[in-house]
Amino acid sequence: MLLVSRSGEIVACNRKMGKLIGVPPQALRGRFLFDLLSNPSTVVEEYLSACSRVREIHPGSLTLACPSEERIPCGAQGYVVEPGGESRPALLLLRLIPKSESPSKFALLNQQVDRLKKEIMLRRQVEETLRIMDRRKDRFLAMLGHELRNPLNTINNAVFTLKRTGSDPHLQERARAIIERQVQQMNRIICDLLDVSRITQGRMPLERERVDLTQLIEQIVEDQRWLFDEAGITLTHRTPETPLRVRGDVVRLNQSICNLLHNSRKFTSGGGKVSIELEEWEGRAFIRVVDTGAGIAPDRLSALFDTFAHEETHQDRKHGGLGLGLPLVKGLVELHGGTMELLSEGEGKGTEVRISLPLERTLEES
Amino acid sequence: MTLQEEYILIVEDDPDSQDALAMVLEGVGHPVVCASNGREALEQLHREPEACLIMLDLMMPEMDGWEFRRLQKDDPKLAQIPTIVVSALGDSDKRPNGDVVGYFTKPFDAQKLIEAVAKIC
Repeated sequence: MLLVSRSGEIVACNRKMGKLIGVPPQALRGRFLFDLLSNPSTVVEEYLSACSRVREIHPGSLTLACPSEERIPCGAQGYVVEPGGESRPALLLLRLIPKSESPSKFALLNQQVDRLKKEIMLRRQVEETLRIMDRRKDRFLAMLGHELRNPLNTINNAVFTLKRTGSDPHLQERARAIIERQVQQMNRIICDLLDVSRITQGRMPLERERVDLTQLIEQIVEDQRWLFDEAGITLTHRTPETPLRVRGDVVRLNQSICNLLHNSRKFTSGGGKVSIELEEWEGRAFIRVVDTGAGIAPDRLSALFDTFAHEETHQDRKHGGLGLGLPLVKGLVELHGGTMELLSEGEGKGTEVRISLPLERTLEES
Repeated sequence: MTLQEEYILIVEDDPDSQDALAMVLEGVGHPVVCASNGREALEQLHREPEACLIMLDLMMPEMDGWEFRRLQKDDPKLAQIPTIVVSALGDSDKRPNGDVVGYFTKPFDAQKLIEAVAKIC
């Protein structure tokens, strides 16, 4: 290996190079590359010029002319380690590898350099991604604080009333009921957050058993109908006449479907409609939850699956929330070997969520 | 509530939050009317403009607190009604521009809120 100036003057060389030529390394300092090579000086000059222009590793072929008169054809790799200035020439690092040596060594060096370059680029991409994730996490934590402050405030006010109402049983009951509901709300937020965290880290164990989706959905609809009636939303459902079985965790499947219905209810005004449909097709169970609610702008669709990408857009600001529901449901569905799609024609045009799950194939049908 | 009796308007979308705040204010003798979003609040104020104070949440569906404030200030009949913003948003750069008479970040001290309200109504 040699360090040469653009003009060809040898600035330094290593012991291996000296040994190859048959001259002590220090004796080469100050000499010119043109004297060490048997190539015409125009060829050498052109090579040095190309190395300075290209600014990355430039391959070539040069032949060493040793004092012993031996000629050693070499593969050359030259690149600029220090660009030149007005008063000093550029410095080039030049590797010369005898072609008689393992021919793959030259290729190996090229590969190593390529690999290093790719690693550097990858590292830069990873750093940029980490920076984005970091900013999103900060925003997420801010929103988490915001979401928990609301129920805390309500509980606080209810406790204040309890302290002041003395023996008025109606006010006391009103305050007590508020506290109970808000504690449940906080619990839901925290549980959702922990679930999403567990899924992200691959630490969500599933208790799998045979689950009849027909029965599950019918039960959920029956349990939740009163919530929709109260909100003035028409809830309809369509399920097959026979069981539709999957192998899954009934609690998590329940959680997923309830989550989707909760979202539809939250984003649909009174007078609107929500439907949940279950059918079998080509060996899979398909669940569709469709609403006539607020809909989703096209540029937000993919971000909704990302836990930390909940932006403070106009729509998010109006509805608040951490946006944990969809990433959580998607994570749970995928753990079951399923897929989830979110569709909307735009704001004000309703939303459709489509889930598919693999059916349990059994030889025994009751 | 009789006509032309001054009342406090609570604008807040969460029913429990509405109720809990209403109980705090009614507990010290203020008549209270609740609206679930900015649009309902404007309708209420046009029907019965005798509100002595508006307690305004910011993040609400249909019409949020920022939009309500803008429309309130544009309406000469409503612009002068004092407004206290009550919100979980802590960032001061997200607050509505100027001239609200108070800003309470949730969770707030109910006693301090009562004292602030007493100076207005």
